[in-house]
Amino acid sequence: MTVDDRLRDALHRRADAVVPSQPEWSRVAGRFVPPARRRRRAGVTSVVGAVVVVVAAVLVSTRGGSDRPQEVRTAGTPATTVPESPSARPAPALAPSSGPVPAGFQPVSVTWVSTRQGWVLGTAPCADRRCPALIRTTDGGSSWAGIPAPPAGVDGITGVRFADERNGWIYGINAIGVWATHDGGATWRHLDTPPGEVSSLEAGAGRVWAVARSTASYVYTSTVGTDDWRSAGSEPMFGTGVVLQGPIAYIAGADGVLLAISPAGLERRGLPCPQAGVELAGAGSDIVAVCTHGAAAGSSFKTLVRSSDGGRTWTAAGAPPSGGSVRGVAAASRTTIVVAAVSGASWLYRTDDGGQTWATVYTELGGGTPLDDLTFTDAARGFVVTRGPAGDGRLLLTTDSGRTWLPVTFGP
Amino acid sequence: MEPRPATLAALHRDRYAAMVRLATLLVDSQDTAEEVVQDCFVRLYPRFDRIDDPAAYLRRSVVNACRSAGRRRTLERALLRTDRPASVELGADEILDALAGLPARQRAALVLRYYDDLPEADIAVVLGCRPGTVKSLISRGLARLRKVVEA
Repeated sequence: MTVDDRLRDALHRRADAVVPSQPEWSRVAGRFVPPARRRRRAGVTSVVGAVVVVVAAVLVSTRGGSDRPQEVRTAGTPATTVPESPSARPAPALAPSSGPVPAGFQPVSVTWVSTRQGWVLGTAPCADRRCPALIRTTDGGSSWAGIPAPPAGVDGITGVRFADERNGWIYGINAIGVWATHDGGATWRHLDTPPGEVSSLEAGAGRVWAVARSTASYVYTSTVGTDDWRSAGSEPMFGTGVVLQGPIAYIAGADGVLLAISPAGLERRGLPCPQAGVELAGAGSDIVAVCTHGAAAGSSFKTLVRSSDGGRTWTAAGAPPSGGSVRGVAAASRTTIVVAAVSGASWLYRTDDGGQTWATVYTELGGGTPLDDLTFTDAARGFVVTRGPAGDGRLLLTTDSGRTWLPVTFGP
Repeated sequence: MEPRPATLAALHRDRYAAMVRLATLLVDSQDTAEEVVQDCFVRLYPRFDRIDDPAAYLRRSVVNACRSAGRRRTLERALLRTDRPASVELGADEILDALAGLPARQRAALVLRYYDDLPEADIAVVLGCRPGTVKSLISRGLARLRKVVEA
């Protein structure tokens, strides 16, 4: 590996390990001292200013995080009310009305913004039909509450994603398209763009990406919070999932092309998968792909390939079991990877040595139950949604890096 | 240029985490990185409505503040007579240790190129220099890293 590749790999690995403790905006803005007050203070302290600066330089670099945000407050008065910016109105309260998990709730999709905060999109009975239903947890799945869902249909509803506690999207095929919320789910709005059917959507690093299909599949992107969606290239896509690593979105394109889309533009890189059967995932700072070929009679040859340089070069890493067609892949770490496969039955295959050896860790003989949104929220905890033919979906949880999978209970 | 965020709160919501990750790569310590990023948001607060591209301004502020913070940490280590390497908090990755030992501008150029995937022209804007200087910073930085990791 060249020094460029080693550096890129090390930087992404280090950055991936950083979990920022993002403070509320009001607490950061509360540290702003208006110029008049700052000037007055400067005058009083000018004689000892140099000493203060030297001491502060040492203190700043050794302070912990707990005492960091300091609100501007004077004795006997309440804390300053801090607007979003000097000319903006205060942010609306983030408190969507919540209630119990609806009776008969059946999960369809799951998303997490941290190990504790997640949402499950599903359906629930309403009058004489089923309607979309959304539930949220803030304690890693120990308890769940129902929050408002958009008034969309359920035929074709595919997924839910949130970028943070405020900005989220529900998307799907048929007439679902994309619905967006910017207040944590209190209100939802249907978007005209991306147009057509949306087969996948992911958010990260301040952007949201969607693969939408009209006459062909195209990628659209927007800055989180703006609903300002733009086409990110006219390249036709396979419509498989979007994988985000930092500011770059990776999507499998046609004819063995991996599309790497960043703020700098779209770049075509190679993907050693000759046919359309490919699923991608991030594995630490690597990208892994499971390529399918030679599918027949409920089985297919699969190859796990890995890239450590953003898809510029790939190495074969192993062969998952042949049962089923690949439905998804997720990595708990650089070497622990789980593959979901479906045909007449549904399986989860797991490796913990980077792909050399594989074990079947979950089997469901339900006639090809889909296994969707396979994901890990940390090195131990992961989720996948199963959807039975009678709508009897379940959310499965692993807490041992994918060795065992058990259903999550939503209600009491 | 990305669409301008409507409010500074929106920019904070969308870019805080990314800026902390970038800053951590430039100053080694996440605590210092969070401090630097919060200070940059505070400094941006009264200027927000007058800046065309607040996200780019924020990135420039963070990178420059990290260079200052890096100098303070170097001075602090010298004053405290510690011989701990600059990247001790990063773990035992020798290439990150070597990166931490580079001059601040070389280090920033390499991080912006190989972590943020910025083209040289954009790095030049962030660092306030010519694209040719960026090319030179990256080339010399890589040469020094190569010398260390291949030694």
